[in-house]
Amino acid sequence: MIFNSLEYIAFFVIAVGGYFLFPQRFRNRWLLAASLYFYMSWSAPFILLILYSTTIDYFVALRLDATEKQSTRRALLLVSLVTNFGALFLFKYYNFFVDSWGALVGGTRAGWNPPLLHLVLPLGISFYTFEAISYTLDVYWRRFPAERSYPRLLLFIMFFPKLIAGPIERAGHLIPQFDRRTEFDYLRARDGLAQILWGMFKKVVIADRLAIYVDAVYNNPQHHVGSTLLLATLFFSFQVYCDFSGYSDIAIGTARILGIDLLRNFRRPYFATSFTDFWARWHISLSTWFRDYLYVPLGGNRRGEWRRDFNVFMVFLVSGIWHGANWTFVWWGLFHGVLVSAENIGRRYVRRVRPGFALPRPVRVGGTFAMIVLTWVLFRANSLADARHVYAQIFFNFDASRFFVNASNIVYGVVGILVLVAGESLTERGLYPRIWTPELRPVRWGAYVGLVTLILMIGVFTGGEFIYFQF
Amino acid sequence: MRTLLRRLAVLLLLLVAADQAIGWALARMFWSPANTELDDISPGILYAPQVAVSGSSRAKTHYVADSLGAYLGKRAYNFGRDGQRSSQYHYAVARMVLSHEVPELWLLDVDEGVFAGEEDVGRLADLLPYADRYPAVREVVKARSAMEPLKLWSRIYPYNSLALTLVKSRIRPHGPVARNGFRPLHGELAAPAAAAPAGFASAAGEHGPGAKANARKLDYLRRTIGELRRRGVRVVAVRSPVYPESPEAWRAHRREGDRLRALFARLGVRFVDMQAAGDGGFADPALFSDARHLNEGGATRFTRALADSLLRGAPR
Repeated sequence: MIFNSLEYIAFFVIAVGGYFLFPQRFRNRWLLAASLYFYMSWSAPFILLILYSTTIDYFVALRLDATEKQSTRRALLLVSLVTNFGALFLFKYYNFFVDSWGALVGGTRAGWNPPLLHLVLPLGISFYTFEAISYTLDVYWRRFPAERSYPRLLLFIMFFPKLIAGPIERAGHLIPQFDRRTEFDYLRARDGLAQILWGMFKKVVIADRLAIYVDAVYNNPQHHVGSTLLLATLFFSFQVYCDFSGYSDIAIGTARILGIDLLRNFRRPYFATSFTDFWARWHISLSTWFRDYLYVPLGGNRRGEWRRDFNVFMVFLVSGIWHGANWTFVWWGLFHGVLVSAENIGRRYVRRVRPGFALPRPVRVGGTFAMIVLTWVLFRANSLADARHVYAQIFFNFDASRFFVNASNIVYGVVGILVLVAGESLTERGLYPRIWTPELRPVRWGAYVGLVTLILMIGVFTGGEFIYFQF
Repeated sequence: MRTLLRRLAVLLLLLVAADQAIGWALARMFWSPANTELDDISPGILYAPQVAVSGSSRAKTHYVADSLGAYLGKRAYNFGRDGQRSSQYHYAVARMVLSHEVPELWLLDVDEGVFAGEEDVGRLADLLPYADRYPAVREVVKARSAMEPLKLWSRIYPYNSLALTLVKSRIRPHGPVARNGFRPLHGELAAPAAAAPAGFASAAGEHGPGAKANARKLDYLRRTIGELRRRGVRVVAVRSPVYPESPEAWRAHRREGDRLRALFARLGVRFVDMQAAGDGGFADPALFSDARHLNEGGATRFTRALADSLLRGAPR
């Protein structure tokens, strides 16, 4: 059951309707039942994996809360980390590790040749694992008390809108909201539905439409010249953004109707004026997770500039690995690490030699966007060899005369992008709140009708799953 | 909650109005005689063919319908369409044609995709515009998803992704369907090894030799044949040639031929394999545009050979 399906709409109506029909004390149980059903509609057996790790975390956290003895607390933390990272490693990284080890030592020469495992990647494992780890670490650092109610902790992990692809929630932000008395709120419901519609538009009209061209090109990059590969990469930049932020919009909108605020995940990233700014706008719940649970524990910016650059670099390396068990993602993370570190070094240098100097905003936005587009090559390419080929073609064999034309998909894709850019420009200029004023109701309603009509006219109804489901 | 429901109801009314208006405009453009690019089925029905061909791009590019008609002394029309290998398409076209005319002969261009392998429900989208007019087509397209009947409430949805082409055909009409639906391909396979396309295994059937039979496809194949026969139409299944690149591909191609022969023998339908035992004179790469498609020269030769075979009436 994916968000961009009528099955989800039916599930959503029942889940939300039931939530407000039940008395307050039954609502969390209802949400938990709905979340279990939602996940089990993908895969019933993998629910056991979530129950297993949550049960361990539940008892570990209770013990962490109860004891002051540091060695016991460390041991308990280790149990939780091994349980969560162990499952993640086994399902997501084991084969990559074995493959890479084999390539490194040359097959059997090392004398250790572990077998490859044929395991299916449980949906959302990277997301709920990070949530579980953040919970245990928060309890360990005494930022958040251990949750006494097992169903409530399970609901924190399994809350269906964000279960499969985030936003990556924090216990301290989400769990207290489950206790809040919520009555149906028209304004929240209106905002939530509008956000769901916008998310659907981004996924069905833009992401899935662009995917047709991008897949055709990137699945056979050897058959295409630089001009085609550059357009496909540009399209992929919008595809991946609309796919992922579309999912987040639907998740956040759904939760909002239920009276629950999820963490913000995107803030118009392609309007970023620097790479650092980009990461403050892109997948915010993951960036802040890495900031709080990796960057800061590594020393953050407290141990000098060079150590800070190293820490930033490490965060991006791990972020790349988080995205996928493939060297393309590792290099993608490194690429971003280099960009952010170089930017920091450059900024320090400019501050020294020409204090107060800044390029005009359009140049900064354009330059950042251009570089970000180039990094997506590594993210989308099926292999490092393909990525090398794409870069080589873009820079050394542009050949616009052999451009691959797929007129209707290009036109429909561009229409979608223009609507997106128009909408995001308004928000970037701070005009979004004005849309909700009563005077602009006709415009608002026109936009609703327009978006639904565009979905029906040029949306892709056979589109695939969300890209981030694979992570 | 009441405010929300009231406003949602008003919004729904606005949406229905927009959907009806835009859907009406799209339908007008689709069913216009100027739109021969997207709708080559209606001109075929208007032509009242005595010989009809249905199938995929291989049918479209192999059967020179006007020549075939001339050889057989009948009106022939080619209903081939890109990607339509499954029996659902044969069934839908047959039912659409039969609701207007009763041809004398129906040629089903087949490969394993007609009865085996996964269903490509995405391809059935080509039939969506016809669902409103033809109940049989409506039944076929329901296979796309459980929610398809609900989606078909929309008047725009059947014309999803067609707007640009429809507007284009309005501005610059495509003209009448040339050569009774036959669309020739050009170019030659220069050298077999170099010219073999990446997915060449497809020459032996895209689902691979021995692909598992698909119950729904088989059902629609039986229903197509049954419906045509019930109306007195003679049905012949034809496998047009491919250009296998290697001995393995040849063997796989022959195995596919054997399976098809056995299947149509069970169904009591004459099966004409134009490449059986490699004696059709199609072992020449100069006759092919790619490994699965004949070029215009190859199509001309194929059509003449097929007409001879049909006139002889002898099973091959």
